[in-house]
Amino acid sequence: MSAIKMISNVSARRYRSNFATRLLLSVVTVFICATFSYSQPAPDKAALIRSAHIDQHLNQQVPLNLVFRDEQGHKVHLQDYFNGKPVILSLVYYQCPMLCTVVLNAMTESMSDLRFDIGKEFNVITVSFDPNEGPALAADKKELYVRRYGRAGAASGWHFLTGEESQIKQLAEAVGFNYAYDPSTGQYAHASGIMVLTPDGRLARYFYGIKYPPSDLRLGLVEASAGKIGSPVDQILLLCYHYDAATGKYTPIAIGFMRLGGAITLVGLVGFIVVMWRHDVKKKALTHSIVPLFLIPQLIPETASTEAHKVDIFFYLMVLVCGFVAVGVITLIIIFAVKYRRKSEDQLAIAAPQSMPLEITWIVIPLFIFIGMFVWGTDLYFSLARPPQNAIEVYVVGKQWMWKFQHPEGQREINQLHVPLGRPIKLTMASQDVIHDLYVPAFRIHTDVVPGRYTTTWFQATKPGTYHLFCSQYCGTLHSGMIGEVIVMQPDDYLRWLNQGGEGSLASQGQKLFRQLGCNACHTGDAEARCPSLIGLYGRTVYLQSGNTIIADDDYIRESIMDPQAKIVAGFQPIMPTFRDQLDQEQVLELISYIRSLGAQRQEVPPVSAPTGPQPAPVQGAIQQSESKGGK
Amino acid sequence: MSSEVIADAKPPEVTVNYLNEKYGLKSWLLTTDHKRIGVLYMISITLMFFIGGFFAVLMRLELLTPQGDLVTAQTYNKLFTMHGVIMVWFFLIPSIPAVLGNFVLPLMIGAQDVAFPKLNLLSWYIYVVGSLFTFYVVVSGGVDTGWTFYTPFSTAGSNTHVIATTCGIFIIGFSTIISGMNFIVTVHKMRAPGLTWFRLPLFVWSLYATSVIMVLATPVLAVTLLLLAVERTFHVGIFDPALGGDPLLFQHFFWFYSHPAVYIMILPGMGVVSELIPTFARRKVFGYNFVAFATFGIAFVGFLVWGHHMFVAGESLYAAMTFSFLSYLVAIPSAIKVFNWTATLYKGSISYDTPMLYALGFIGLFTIGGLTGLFLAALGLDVHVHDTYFVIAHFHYIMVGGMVMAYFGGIHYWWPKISGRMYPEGWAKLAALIVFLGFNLTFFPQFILGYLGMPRRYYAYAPEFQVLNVMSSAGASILGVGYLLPLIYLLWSAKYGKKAEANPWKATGLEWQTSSPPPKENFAVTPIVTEPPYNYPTLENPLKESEQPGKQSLEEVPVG
Repeated sequence: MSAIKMISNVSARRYRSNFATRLLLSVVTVFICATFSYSQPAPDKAALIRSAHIDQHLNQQVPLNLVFRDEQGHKVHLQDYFNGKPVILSLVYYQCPMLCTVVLNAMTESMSDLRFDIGKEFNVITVSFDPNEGPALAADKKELYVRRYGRAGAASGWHFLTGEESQIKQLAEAVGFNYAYDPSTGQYAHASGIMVLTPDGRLARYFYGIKYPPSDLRLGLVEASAGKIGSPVDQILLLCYHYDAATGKYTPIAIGFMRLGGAITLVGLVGFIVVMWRHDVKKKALTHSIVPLFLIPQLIPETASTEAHKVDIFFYLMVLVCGFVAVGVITLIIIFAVKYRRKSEDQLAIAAPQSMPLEITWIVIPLFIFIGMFVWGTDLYFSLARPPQNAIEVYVVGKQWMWKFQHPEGQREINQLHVPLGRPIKLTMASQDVIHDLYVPAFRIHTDVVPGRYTTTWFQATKPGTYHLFCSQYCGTLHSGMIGEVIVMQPDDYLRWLNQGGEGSLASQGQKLFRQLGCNACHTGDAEARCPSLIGLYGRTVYLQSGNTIIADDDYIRESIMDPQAKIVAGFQPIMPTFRDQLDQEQVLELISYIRSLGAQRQEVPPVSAPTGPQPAPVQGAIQQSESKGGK
Repeated sequence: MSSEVIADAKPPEVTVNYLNEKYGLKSWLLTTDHKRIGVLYMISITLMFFIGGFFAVLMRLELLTPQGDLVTAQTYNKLFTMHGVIMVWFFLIPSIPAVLGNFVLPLMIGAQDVAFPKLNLLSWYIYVVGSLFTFYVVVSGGVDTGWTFYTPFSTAGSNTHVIATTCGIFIIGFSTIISGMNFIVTVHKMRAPGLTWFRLPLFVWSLYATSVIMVLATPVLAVTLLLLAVERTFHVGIFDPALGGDPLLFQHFFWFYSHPAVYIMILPGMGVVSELIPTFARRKVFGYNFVAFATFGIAFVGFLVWGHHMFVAGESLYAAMTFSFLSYLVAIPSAIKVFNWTATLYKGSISYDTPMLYALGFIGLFTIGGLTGLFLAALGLDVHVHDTYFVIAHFHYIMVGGMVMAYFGGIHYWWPKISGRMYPEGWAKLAALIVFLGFNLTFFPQFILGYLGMPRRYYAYAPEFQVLNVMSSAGASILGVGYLLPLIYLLWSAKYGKKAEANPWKATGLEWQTSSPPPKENFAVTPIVTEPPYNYPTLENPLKESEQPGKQSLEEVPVG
C-alpha cells in the first residue's frame, strides 16, 4: 500500500517540479528581457526599471484577507469580491500620467468585446498601488470606466480600491507585480499587465502588455472558472489553444501540430507523385535501368477527363485528412500502450475521469469535418451526373458479354468507343439482359446499365490515348471479359474515322425501321389520326389519360414502344400493340433517335464539325408527306 | 482480489463443471446448456470459416496471374459467391453472438441460462440444416450469382443452384431470429439482482443492440429471398423488367437487410473490444454511457443508410444525397467508440496478453476500415471506386480486420472459461502478429488496386494490376497460416494446457467470479451486484473492489 502512495507522491512531485521549471523559465525570460533592454541608462535608474516587472506566480494563492477601501471609503476584504466567479485583477495608480490609463483603456476595450458581463460571469478589481491615493480618486475613475464600458450592472462588479502600503505590498508580492517609486520624477516605474484569478483566489493567467485580445481573455476566464462559464466551443478551443506562460498569450499548439502533420503528409504526397512520374519516365527507358521496375506497382490511375482531376483533388484531400486521423489514432495507441505498459504484476491504473467536454469535442469536430466531406462529395456527384447541354450523345447497349455503341452519325462499334478530344460526350445506356456497369477508370465515370430503364453518364476527355472500359457490375460467367477500350482521338482524326462509312445516321436507320414496322400507318401526324402525332414530341410535356403529365424523354418513349398500355396519352384509345418481342435495345434506340429528329424542343447539337461532317438527321420523310396530305 | 479467494478456497481439480458433468454424444446433442450450445456453435462455425477461407485461398491463387489460368471463369464466380455466402451468413453473423454471446451472456448477467434454453438448441439445429443446404450446393456444383443475388441475373440469368442456396440462407435466418429474440428476453428478464442497465458490461449492450437488428432486419431478407425464389420458379414479375418487375426494388430490399447486417457483424466485435480494453488496461471504460449509446446510435441509423450501396445504380440524385448524409451520420458513433477506447488506454496499466493484442489490432484496422468508409460515403468518390477492389478492401478491414480480430480476441479471452485451460501465450502472440501482418499485406494493396480501377469479381484482369495482386495473394497465404495456428494450439491446449484459474485476467465481470470452467448452473448462489461495471481498483482508490459488500457475497459462491 505504501508503495502505491509513494508512486502517487512521486508523480505529484514530478508534476510540481515540471511546473516550477516552467515558472522559472518564464521569470528568467522576463528578467533577461529587462536586462538587455535597459542596460544603457545610469545604474540607479537601471535598477529602478529592472525592478518594474512581473514575476509569474501561476497557481499560487493570493491572500484574500487583505484590507482595502472601496470607492465610498468603506473597509473591504478582497474575499468580498470572490463570490464564485473568476476575477480580473489590475494594479495601477490613478494619477499615473500614461501607462495605467493605457492598461485600463485596453482592459475596457477587451471586456466590451467579450460576451461575458462584468458582475455576471466575472468580477474586476483594480487596485491602486500608490498608498497616497484615496477613495475619491477611485470613485472618479470608476465612474469614468463604468460609463465607458456601458453595460448595466458593471458598477456592482468592477471595483476600484485603494489601501495602506502594507496591504498593497502584500498583494503585489503575492501576484509577482514589482514596481518602484522614482523620486526624481515623482512617478512609479511599473510593468503593464493584468491577471486572471480563479474563484478561490489562485492566480490562473497573466496577460502582458497594453493589448489583451478578447479571445485570449475569454479563454483565460473560462479556464480560471474551471469550465463553469463559457460554452462547449470554448472547451474545444482550449484543446487547440494553449496558454503559453512565457508570452502570456494563447497559442494554437494543436493547429501548429496539424499544420506540421499536414506539411509532412503533403511532402510525402508530392514525393510520391514525383516518384511515380519518374517511374513513368523510366519505364520508357527500361533497358537502361538496373532496378527491375516492373516490380514497382503503379500507384495512381491514369487521369484523362475534366472530372477526373476534380475527383483526384478530392481523393487526395480525403487521403490527407483521413490519413492524418488514422496515423493520429494509431500513434496514440502505440504511445499509450508503451508508456502505460504494466511494469509490475500489481500495477494499478490511474482512475479515469469522465469528461463531457472531451466527448462533445470528438463528436462535434468529426461532425463538421463529415459535413464538409459530404458537401464536397455531393457537389462533385452532381457535376458528374449532369452532362453539359452541348454534349455529343452516344447510345450504349450492354449485353452478356459485350458493349455496343451507336454514334449519332450512324457508326456502330463493339467493345470500342471512339470519341473526340475536348468535347463532352453523353452516354445513354440500356441493357439487353442483366445489370451491367460501364466503368472507365481514367475518366472516373461509373454507372450501372439497368435493364428496363435508361441511365446516363458523361465525360470530356483531356488526353488522347486508349483507356480501359470495364463492366463492373457482376453479370455472369464472362463478366471479366466484358471489357473494351475508349479511344480518344484528336478532332481531325475523329472526323476521318467518322467518315469511314456507316449505314447512314442513327435517325435515318430509325426512320427505315419506323416504316418497316408500320408505325407510320397510325402515327401519321394527322390531327384526326388514331394515334398521337410524334412531331415535336421529344422533350415536350405529354398529358396522360390518368390526368398526370410526363416529359417525353428517352425512357418515356422506350416504355411507350415496349409497354404501350403503361401510359396512354389523353384523348387516345389503348390500341397500340407491344413491340417488346420484335425489337432489341439497339433498334429501340434507333427509333428514339428518329423520333427525336422529328423536331425537338431542345436545341440540337451540331456534330463535331458541322459543315463537313455527316449531317445528323434531317429526315422527316414519312410523316411530312402524310402531313401535307392532311393539310389539303 | 475476490477471485484469488475463490481460487485458493477451491482447487479447480475436484470441481464438477459443464464439460465433465456428463459425457457422450447424446449429452451434447440434446443439451440445453447455453455453454454447451456455444461450444457446438463454435465447432460448426469454425468448420464453415475454414471452408469459406479455402475458397478465398483458391481465389487468391487464381489472381496471382492476370490471365485466368488456374480455374475457369465460371468456377471463379462460384468461388467468390460461396466465399461470400458462407462467410457472411454462416460465419460472421453467428460468430460472436452465437458462440461467445451464447457462452458468456448468461454468465455476465449472473443468470443460469438464457431465457429459452430449448429454443437455443433449436437455433443450432436450424443452423445445421441451413448449412446442409450449403454443403449440398457446394457438392452439387455451386452457385454463381455473387452473395448479393442481384436480379435479374439471379432470377433469369444464372443456371446454377440459386434456389438451394437461398433456401439455406432463408432457413439460417430463423436461427438468427430465434437467437436474437432469446438474447433480448434474457437481457430483460434474467439479470442478477442489482445489475441495472447501466451496470451491464458493454458486451451485453452490444449483444442486445445486435439482437434488435437481427429480429427486425432478418425477416426482410427472408421475404426478399422468397420473392426471388417465386420469380425464379414461377416467373412472376417482381424484379425482372422483362416480366414487368424492377431490378432496383431487389437492391432496395436486399440492402435494407444487408446494411444493418453489416452492423450485426461489427457491433458484437465492438462489444468484445469494449471488454478487452478495460480488462487489460485495468481501467474503467472511458465514457461508458457514450459507448453504450453509440451502440444504439449505430443500430438505429444503420437502418437508414442502405441506399449508399446504390449510388451508381440509378437512384435519384436527391435520394443519393440523403443516403450519403446519413452514412456520414452513422460514422459518428463509430468514431465515438474509437476515441473512447483510445482514451481508456491513457494512464492505464496495460498488459500485452494476446486478447489485448487483438483488441489493439482491432482499433487500428477498424479505424482504417471506418475512415475508408468515408471515401465511399462521399458521392463523387464513390462513383469512381464503387464495385472496385477499394470496396473489397474497405469491408474486409471492417469484417476481417474488425470482426474476425475481435472474435479471435474474444476466443482467447474467454478460452480459460470455456475450456478450463490456458492457451500457450507465446504461440498465441505469434499467431496474432502473423494475422495482423498477413491481413494488412492482403488487403492494403487492394485499396490501391481499387483506386487504379480494378473491378471486383474479375477472374482475369489487366496486366498492370499484377504486382499488387501478387502482394495481396502473398499476404493471404500468411493470413492463412495465422488462422491455422490458433486452430492447432487451442485444440492442443484444451487437453494439455495449463489449468486456468477462475479469474486469470483479474477482470471484474461476473463471468470471472465463478470457476473455470463454470458448473452447469453457472452460479450456485445468485450473485448480487452492487457496483458499476469495470470498477477496477486504481492508484487513487486501491481498495475499492474488496470494500464492496456485493463482492463479499460473491466470495461465498460455492464453486462446484
